[in-house]
Amino acid sequence: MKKIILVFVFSLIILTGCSKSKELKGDRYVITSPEIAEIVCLLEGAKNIVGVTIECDYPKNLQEIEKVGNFGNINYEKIISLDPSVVFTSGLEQQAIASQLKKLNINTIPIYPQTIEDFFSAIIVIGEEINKLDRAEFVADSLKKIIQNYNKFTNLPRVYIEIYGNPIMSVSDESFVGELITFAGGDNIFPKLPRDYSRINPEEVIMNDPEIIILTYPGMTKEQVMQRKGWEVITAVKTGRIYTTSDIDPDVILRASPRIIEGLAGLIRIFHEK
Amino acid sequence: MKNRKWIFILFGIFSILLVVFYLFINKPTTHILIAVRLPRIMLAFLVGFILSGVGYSFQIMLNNPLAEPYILGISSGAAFGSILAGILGLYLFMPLFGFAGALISLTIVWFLAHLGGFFNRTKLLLSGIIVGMFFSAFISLIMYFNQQDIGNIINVLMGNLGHIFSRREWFYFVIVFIISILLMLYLFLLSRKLMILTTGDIIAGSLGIDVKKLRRKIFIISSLLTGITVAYAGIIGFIGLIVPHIVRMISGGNKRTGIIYSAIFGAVLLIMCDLIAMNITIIEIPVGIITAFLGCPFFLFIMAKSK
Repeated sequence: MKKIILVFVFSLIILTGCSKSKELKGDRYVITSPEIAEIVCLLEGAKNIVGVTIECDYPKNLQEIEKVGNFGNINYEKIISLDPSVVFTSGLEQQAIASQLKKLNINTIPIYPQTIEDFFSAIIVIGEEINKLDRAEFVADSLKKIIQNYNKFTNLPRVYIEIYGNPIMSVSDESFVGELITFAGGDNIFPKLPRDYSRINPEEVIMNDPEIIILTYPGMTKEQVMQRKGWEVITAVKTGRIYTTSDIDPDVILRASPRIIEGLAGLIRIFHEK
Repeated sequence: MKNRKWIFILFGIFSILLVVFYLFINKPTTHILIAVRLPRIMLAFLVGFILSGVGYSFQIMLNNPLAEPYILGISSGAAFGSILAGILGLYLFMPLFGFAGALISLTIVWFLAHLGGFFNRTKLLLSGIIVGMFFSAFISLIMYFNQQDIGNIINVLMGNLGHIFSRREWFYFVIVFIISILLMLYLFLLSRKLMILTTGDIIAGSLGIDVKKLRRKIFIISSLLTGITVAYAGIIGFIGLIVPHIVRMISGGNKRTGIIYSAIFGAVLLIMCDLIAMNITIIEIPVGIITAFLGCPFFLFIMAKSK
């Protein structure tokens, strides 16, 4: 009889101990999307980030944080060992990762802003989750005000954005980058594509004759584009208005992060400089 | 045979119509026609020409109806080379690295096939398969660690005739084109000789040495040519396998001119597949997928016929 009571009391203590430790865990974020990492840092949540993927490289202090893998390959054991209170994932291929994490009973929030509106909502959602709602609303409002001051251009140059080299790929107006181009006063030569980020036919680039070409991936130079057979008749090639990653950091226009302000400024400079 | 004459005429008409259709579909401007379409159709022609000719030759050399240009592992080496250049961002060097990969795998297969001091078909086949597997494994490794470059890798592994030439590269390609046609002619002569020697009644010792020499030469020439196709266009399956069979079905068995017919028919077939690949959906799909879809009904047809 005594033994049974002892076991019972012992179990109770352990069980209450368990739940107590959950409450005392504190905020521990694991982030597998570089743009969400930037947002969390801007919302002053940097000190609670315990794990990121290799692509999360901005701000610089993220480089010292534990790595849980890269975009497509996540180390689930690592994430579990970090004992996160929430994991923020991206979309696309990471949808599978999100469902895996949910199966492991980890609080997972997939966030994948595909438009500028989505981006503002994402800031609020993240702010709610990390208890920085006030700051999130402030940041979102400020960004909205700045961006709304754009989109007032009249002379829109024809722009071709190349996001990949083989096969060559571009973006549609509905993509995030596409929206930024519109806001910065550019006329994307591919307004509609089967997908937001899609393979395109080089013949169509020649036919649509862009005035500006922007390359957002490393490895391709301006000279290589100018040397492409058949491309010599394109206005951008004739005038040399081809911009690479050394002219504009691709992360500031490809990521739905607070740095789109920098991105917009860069695009406007490229589109409208004389 | 009157039948055969009609087939040639029909084929000729079909080919001309196909080329016209290919060049003028979607109404390109004259500039695009000359600067983009023409190079592309030339590449398609060359790749189809080589793959079908080499396929025919291999089926004779290895005495195996399932032989095709990629069976000796050169394509995996070339694909590996191209992919390596691609993920390193050296887009302009993809054909060069591809050809280097072909040369390296050719050397390894050659070396392995001579281990133990003698060279025969079985050893060649085995060496080729081993080298092919080895490079395929490497490609898988690269794929796993470079998922952001999966588009590039798929382009190499599933075939892409839309290679964007730089102006200098195009100049070199024209030279490569001419050399390849000449090499194919040489391959034709070698294969014809091999066919004569191996279908004869006399199997003597000295004949054996001649046959061995021939097989070696055929192997090297074919590997160089296959390497060229993979370097520019990636891996396009089934053309090298099915076309020789189709030609044999029409002409009734191994003929001495079979390799030429095979090469020409393969060139036209690949141009047709490329036409389909470019226009069947809004975005272009890799041409290797179209050729793969051809392979299945073809073999069903063979099975049905052989009953």
